[in-house]
Amino acid sequence: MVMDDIDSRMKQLALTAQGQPVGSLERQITLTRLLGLLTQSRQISRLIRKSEQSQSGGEVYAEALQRLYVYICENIDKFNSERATVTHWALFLFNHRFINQAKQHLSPLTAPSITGVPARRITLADLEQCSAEVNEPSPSTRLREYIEADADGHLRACHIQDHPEVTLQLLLLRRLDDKAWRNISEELGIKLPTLHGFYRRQLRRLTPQFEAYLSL
Amino acid sequence: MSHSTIKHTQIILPLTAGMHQMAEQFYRYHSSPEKIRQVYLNTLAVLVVDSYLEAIGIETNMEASESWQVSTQALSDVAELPILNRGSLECRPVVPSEQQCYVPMESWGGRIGFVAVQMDQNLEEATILGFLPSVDAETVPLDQWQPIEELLHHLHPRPIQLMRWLEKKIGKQVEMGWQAIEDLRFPSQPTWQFRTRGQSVDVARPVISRGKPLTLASYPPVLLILGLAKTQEDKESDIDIWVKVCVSETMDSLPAGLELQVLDPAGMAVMNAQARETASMEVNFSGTIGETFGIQLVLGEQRWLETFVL
Repeated sequence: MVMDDIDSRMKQLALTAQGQPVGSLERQITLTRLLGLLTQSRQISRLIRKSEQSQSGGEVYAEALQRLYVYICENIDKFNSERATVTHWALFLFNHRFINQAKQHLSPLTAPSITGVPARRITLADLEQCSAEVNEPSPSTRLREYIEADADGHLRACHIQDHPEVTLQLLLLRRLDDKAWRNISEELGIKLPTLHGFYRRQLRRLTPQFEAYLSL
Repeated sequence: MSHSTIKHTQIILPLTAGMHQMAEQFYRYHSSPEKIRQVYLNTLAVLVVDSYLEAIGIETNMEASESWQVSTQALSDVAELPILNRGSLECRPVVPSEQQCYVPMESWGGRIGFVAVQMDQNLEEATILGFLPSVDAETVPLDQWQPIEELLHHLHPRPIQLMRWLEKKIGKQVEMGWQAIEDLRFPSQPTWQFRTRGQSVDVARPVISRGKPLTLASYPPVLLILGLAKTQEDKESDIDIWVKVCVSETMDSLPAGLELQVLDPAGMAVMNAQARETASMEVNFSGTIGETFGIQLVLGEQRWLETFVL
């Protein structure tokens, strides 16, 4: 799609949204389609990246973009098709309003860095080979201890109907070990839906108790 | 490359420092690498969908998410985003190399729908890929997700116009999750118990039938099937309506206690059926053109309701 097409489609969507009641299904659909075009528009992201000079890093850019999208949707009635295209309106708002807002918002977050270099953002590659600097005992370690100890014996006593060996404690520990449900089901010879139904009901019941313990 | 070949609206949103901070805060609660990765990506997926909904004016209740609880993060794989007064969405992360979205069975229960969110390699931005009202497998290929606009239809329910089905104006199109019967998967083709003059006889399927998979509580989906036939050929004729609930592939019988109700326009139950270790249950009734009715499924505290107009 050439630029003119995108601009004319975005203009059409913006004007359509202006005629639709706030909060209506129709307006939300129109805004969704507008967001689709706006957020995929290569020209906008290129111009924005260029104008931002990436001097303050991706954080400011991301923060400003998010604010821009929310603003455009909430203030679509302010769009004046005789004064600018949606693209130019968006660029103007980005450069004159949201970059500064984003910098102000982020300054307390990035300030503590002694080196002056903002902390590097975590990527998928980092997550693939991560060893988090967790403060041991981490809450999940403490949760394991709590479940293993089972001071009042409830987790050992609670089991799947007709299967006294399949206790809630056993299932909780398997899940803490990241065992897949499929494997748990095979290991214990219990159907997946039965396991899920039981586990989910019990987890709902126990979550307040677990959370209270972890917050101690 | 032409963008006009893209069928679906896809929204690409930035992953902000605030989102990363929240994800980082959560992952520090856990020790195993697999769990850390899962919690980090689930958190980002929830936050991205929240930021889209905020932009278009749909209020969420993110603080109430069960995925924000450390013990739930540690003990299950869920990414819940509660929508104010509407129920919860499950927001599932997809990494760039994957052609399918993993939706663990433990996240199926108590959801009004599922949203797939694809992260980029640097976790700088995420694409909202699509929506599904229910899933019946843990891995869903990316091309099977419906446009995100479908989610909005689900958040603004309005009566489904059944005459459009009868007049075959809808064809193969999916409307509010209702699909042509051939596109649904279930153990056997349903037969309908059509009660006439006090006798029960098997008849062929009604003129039009469409079905919709539904997820109730923590059970695998059940199938709700609605069949329609005119009692006579003339235009103003009454319409016979069959409603059937049956098990999907993964179950032998319907959840015990599951109740099927037909509601009048005031919301009062006028007919009902209850599951008792059976694979299906059904009710049938007739109505006149212009009449409104509701179909409600009740399982314990959970209710699912949809309204129809003839």
